[in-house]
Amino acid sequence: MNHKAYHLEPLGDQAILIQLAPGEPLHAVQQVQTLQERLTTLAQQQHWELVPGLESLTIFYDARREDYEQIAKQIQALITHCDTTNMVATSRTLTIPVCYDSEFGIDLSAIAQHSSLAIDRVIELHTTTDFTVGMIGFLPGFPYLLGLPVELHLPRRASPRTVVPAGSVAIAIDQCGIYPQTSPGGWHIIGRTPMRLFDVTQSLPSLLQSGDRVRFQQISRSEYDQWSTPR
Amino acid sequence: MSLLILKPGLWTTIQDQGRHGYQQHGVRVSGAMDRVAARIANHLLGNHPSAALIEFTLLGPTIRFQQATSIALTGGLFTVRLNEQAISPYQRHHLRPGDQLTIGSAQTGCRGYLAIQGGLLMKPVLGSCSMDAHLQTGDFLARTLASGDEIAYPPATSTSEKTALLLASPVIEYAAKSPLKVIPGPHANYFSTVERTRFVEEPWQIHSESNRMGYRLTGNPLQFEQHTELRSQAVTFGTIQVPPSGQPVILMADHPTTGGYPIIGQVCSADLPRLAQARPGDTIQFDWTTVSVAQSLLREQAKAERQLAHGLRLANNSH
Repeated sequence: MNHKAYHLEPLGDQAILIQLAPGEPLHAVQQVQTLQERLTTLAQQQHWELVPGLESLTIFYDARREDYEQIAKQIQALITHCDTTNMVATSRTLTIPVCYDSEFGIDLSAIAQHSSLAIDRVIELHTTTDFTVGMIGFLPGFPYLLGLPVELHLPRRASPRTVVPAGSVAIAIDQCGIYPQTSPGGWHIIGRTPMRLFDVTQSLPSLLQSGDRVRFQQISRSEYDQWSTPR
Repeated sequence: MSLLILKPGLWTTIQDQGRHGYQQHGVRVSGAMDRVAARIANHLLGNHPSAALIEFTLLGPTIRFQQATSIALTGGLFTVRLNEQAISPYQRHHLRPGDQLTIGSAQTGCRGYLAIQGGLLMKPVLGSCSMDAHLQTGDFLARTLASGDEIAYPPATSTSEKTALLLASPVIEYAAKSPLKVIPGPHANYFSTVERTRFVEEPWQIHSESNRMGYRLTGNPLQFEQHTELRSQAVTFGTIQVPPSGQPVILMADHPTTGGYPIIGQVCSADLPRLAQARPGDTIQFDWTTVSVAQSLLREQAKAERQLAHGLRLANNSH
C-alpha cells in the first residue's frame, strides 16, 4: 500500500484512525481487511481492539499504558510495505435464506414501483448479486452489505419505522442490511431471514465479519417456518 | 445471599468497566458512565476495579440487604440514608442483615455508584456485566432494574469495623468549572477557523433528550465549510459528531460502535467523568487541546488512582 493510499491520525487520546483515501468501496473493504490481518498479531499482544469502518480501520488502545506517537510509529512500520494489489482473498461466502413473502417484504411493492421493475425482478436481482460485508455496526451483528445493483438504489425512508422485526433484510442508498434484533430502522424491508445473525453464546457472536461474501437464496414461507438450525 | 430492590429510582442499571473486544461484531462497549467513580467504589471495598456494581441516575434506588456486607457510594453527591441515618459517599459502610439503603436525589452531579463487597454475582455476557438491551439476554443485563429484583452478592469477607474515609474523589475534581478539553477530530477541517473558534468560545447546553447513549447539545448551530458524504467509521465514548442540523452530539457510554456524521472533536478521556456527571439543562464549554496533553492528564489521574488503591489496601489490611 503506498503512502498516498491512507493516513494515520488520532481519534481522541485512546484510538488511532487509519483513514483510506476515498475510492471504490469494494476495494476499500479489501484494503481494510488486509490492514486488519497485518495488525492482528500485534493487536493481540498489546490488547488493542481493531474496528473496521467502510474506508477506515480504528485501533483502540489504553493510553494509561501506551503513547500515541509510539503506537503510530509501530503501526506505520507494519503497514508501510503492506501490499493489497496481489493479496489472496481469504474471504468466505455465506448463503443467507430469505423469504420474500409480502407479509415479510413489506416494502417490496414500493421498491418495485420506485425502480419501475416487477417484484419478481427485484427478488431476482437481490438473489443473483454477490454482496460483500463492508463492516458490522449499528446493531450487534448488523452487516452493511456492499454491491447492491444500481437499479435498486433508493434513498432511506422519509420517516424511520419504530419497529423493524428481527431478521428483516432491507436496502437503502447503495447498501443492503440485515436486522439481527428488532429495532427502529429507516431502510426498505424486502424480506426476512430465519437465520440467526448474532448469538452471545458463540466466541464469534456475529455470524458475518467484514470482508465476507454473501449470497441471498429465496425460500418459501413453509421453508421459513420449518427453519430450525440456529446457524 | 442477595439484595432486594424496593424502589428502582429513575434509571438504575448494573455496570462494570464495559464490554471490550466485540466492537467489530457491532457490540457496544457500554459500562459505567463515570468509569473513575465506579472503580473508586470498588477500590474502597478491595474489589476488582471492574467488579459489577449499580449505577443510578438523578434519583437513586431503595434497597434492602438480606445479609451482612460492606458497601461504598461514589460519583454524584446524593442524599443517602442507611435505615434512618444519613451516610456519606467515598467511605466504606458495614451493613447488617435487613438493613435498608435509601438513595434520594442528586444534590450535585448526575450519576452515583453503589458497590458491594466482592461485587455483584452476575453471569457475564461476552465478558461483561454491563447492561445492554441489544444483547437480548433476558435478565438484568437487558433492562433497567425494577422493584422486586433480587441480585446476588458474595458473603462478607471482612468483619473489620474500620472504614476507609475519603469523603470526596481524590482523582477527579468534579467542582472544577474549567472547560472540557477536546482533541480535534478527523473532520475538524469541515469547519472554518471562525467556526472552530466559536465552538470553544460559546456555551453549549445539554438538551433534555440526552442519555447514556449521547448528549445532544444546543447552541448557535455550527456552519459546515465543506461537506462530503462520509463512509461510516468506528466512533468512541466522547466522540463529538455534528449532524446536518449543526447541533453537536457527544457520544456517551452506550453509543453505537460506528457512525457516519462528521467528527469535529473528541472529549479527552480525563474529562469524561466530569461530563458524565453533567445533567440535562447544564451548560458546558470546550477548549481545544492536543493528544499529548490529554494523555498526560489521563496518566496523572491513573497515578492518583493507583496511589489511592494502594493506600486503601494498606489501610484495609492493617487492622
